Amino acid sequence: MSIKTWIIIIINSLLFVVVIALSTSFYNQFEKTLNEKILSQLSSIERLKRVQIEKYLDTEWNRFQYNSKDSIRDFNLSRLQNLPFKIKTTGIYDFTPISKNGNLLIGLIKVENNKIVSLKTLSNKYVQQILLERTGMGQSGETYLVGQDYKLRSASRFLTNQAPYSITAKTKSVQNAFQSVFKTGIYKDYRNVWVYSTYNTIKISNLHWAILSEMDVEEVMQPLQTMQLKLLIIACSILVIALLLGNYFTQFLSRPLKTMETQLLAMANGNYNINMGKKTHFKEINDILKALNSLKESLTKAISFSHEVGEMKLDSNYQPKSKADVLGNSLVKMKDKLIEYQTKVAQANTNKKRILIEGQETERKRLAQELHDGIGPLLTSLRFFVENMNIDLDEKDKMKALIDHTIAEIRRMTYALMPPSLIDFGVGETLKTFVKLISNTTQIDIDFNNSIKTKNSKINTNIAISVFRISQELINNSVKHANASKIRISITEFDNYLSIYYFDDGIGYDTEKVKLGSGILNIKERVEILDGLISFESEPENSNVEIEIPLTHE
Amino acid sequence: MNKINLIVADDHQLFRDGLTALLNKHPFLNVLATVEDGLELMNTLKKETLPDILLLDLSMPNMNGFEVLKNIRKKYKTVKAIAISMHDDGNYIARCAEYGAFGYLLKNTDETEVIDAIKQVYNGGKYYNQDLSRKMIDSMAEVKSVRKLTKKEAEILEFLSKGFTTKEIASKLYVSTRTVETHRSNMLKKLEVKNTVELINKATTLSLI
Repeated sequence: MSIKTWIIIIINSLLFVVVIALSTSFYNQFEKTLNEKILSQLSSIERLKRVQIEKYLDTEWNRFQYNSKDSIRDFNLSRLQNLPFKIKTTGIYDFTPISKNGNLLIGLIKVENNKIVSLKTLSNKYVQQILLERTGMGQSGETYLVGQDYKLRSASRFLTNQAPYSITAKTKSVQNAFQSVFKTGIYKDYRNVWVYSTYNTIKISNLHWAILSEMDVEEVMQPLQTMQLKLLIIACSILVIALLLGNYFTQFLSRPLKTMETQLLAMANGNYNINMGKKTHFKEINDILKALNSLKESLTKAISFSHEVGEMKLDSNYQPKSKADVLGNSLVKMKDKLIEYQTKVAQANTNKKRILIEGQETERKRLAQELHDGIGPLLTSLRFFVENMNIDLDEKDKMKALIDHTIAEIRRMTYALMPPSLIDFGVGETLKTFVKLISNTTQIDIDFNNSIKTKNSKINTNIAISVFRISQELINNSVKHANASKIRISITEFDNYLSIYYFDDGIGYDTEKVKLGSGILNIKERVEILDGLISFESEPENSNVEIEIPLTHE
Repeated sequence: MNKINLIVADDHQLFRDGLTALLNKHPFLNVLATVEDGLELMNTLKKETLPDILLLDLSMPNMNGFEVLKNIRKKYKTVKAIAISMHDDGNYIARCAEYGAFGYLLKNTDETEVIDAIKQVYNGGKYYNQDLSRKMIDSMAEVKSVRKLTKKEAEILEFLSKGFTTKEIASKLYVSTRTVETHRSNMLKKLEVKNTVELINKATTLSLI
């Protein structure tokens, strides 16, 4: 279940309970108040009518006592036989059972010596008028009278076609009234309809009636039902609004979470180039975002580091986050191992080159010596031999010239292979001679500043050979390719290193491209196997090469 | 005329024999002995008659020509050595001159020249032919500075006192800036000063500039 759904359900359930509880209690309170109000109103109406009827009957009775002489005339006394009771005393009687139209009929009777001396009937007219006065009783309210025989005495508002006496109302409220149990409430009336009912009895003389003021529950309930509907609508609205608001507000929580999920998935898939979500309003989410960001950053760093290590850029640096940073520490270890490996390979390579070059130089030296010290003396011996021969002088000179030519060639080859003075006098002297040769055979203004120590020089044969070869190569380049008119070479020996500075005013060269040239490549290799440093700078009329060779060994 | 006594020192038998044969053609020359290296020569000199002239090869096993020259100058001042070598490099010639050789001959020199050289040296002269003289001069070491500072250091000090920067000095002297720096710090050490200002002051006091 998603957080969003969960929160919405929780919020809405709570809200639902609250709304329902509030509505119900409000409704009940309202209903209770309404009931009380209605019943109290009905009760006062009923009381008012009762008092009016009692007062009316009282008045009529008093008038009858003083003025009842000939009232008996218009009434046929034999009708009294049909009454369910016998008239023996003076008083008011209920004549409705013998009423011709079934309407209320009240008889006032005066008895003297067991003989009715005076009789007057009161029609329903006035009583009905009182009862029909229905102020404050709404649409369905009515007040009516019921006799002890449970027959209606007053007209029904609803059953207007029927005579009151033909309508039976043996309802709970009527029964209660006659049993003197006064408990107003909701009962069924004679129509079998639920009504608010208040009731009482009227007892005057021989009259014993129940008076009821009633009102249909349905009518009273009308506003309640309206309210119920309104409450329902309000509750529904609140729920809908809560749903919408919940939905709206939970997105502040769910959206960053969703974004984070997407981003984490992206990271899991190896894409670390993601943008962590913007700041939100919530501290916790911001903290998580921060944590994620720092995770991303450290991963990105580790990745870029591993990338660089992969590209063999081993000078890049990485600081593991902690001892527990397994990835970082492994990467650093990997880098160190690679550096170690690379160093070993480089060392092996340099060694290989050193062995190769030294072997080459040894071989050159051997060859040079063979030529110079082996073949040279043989040729000179041959020359003596020729000199001592008794042959034609011209022939002898020709042969000697040929031998001298061969000797010169041997010298040239020897020098090309390895100048003997390099071994016997060192690089300074040899280079000086070489520079002199260049100076004598070309138009170039060349100067060699020799600051090599004359005593305790640390320059060994290997270094001497390399320095000579390097200088020779540089001079040859300047002469052959650079079209230089001025060359300066300075070799200075310090206690711990040898500095070579070379300058020419030639056309210059592309320092990037020239590195691939075999001449420069040889120079670089020679510097490399001596653990030295070399740098090139070139522009037209100002090219220079700086070389430093450490003199730590020996 | 007395015969000129000679010893030939060379590690090549054929050459020794050839040269000896050539020398012996001349009645005024007398080859006392031939030796094949410096050590044998020294032994011979100890025991036998000292020669007037020594024809000395430079490249020999055991003891080379330069060692021999040094020894002879010390022990046998009357023996005049003429180097006879395959090397036509000025350095060898200059070194021989430095070590007291009276002449320098290339091994493929003509007979007449060899004889001339021997005669000239025997008569108290020195023999370096024109070509060799030029080569030797080219290779001669420069006059060494008697100053406390090297030539390069003195130059740099001069520029420093004129207020040039390291970079400017480097480009003027065709050396690297690091070389200038190292020279400068070496001078500080030599003159026992802490900075360039003190260096210039002290150098002025010592009349080095």
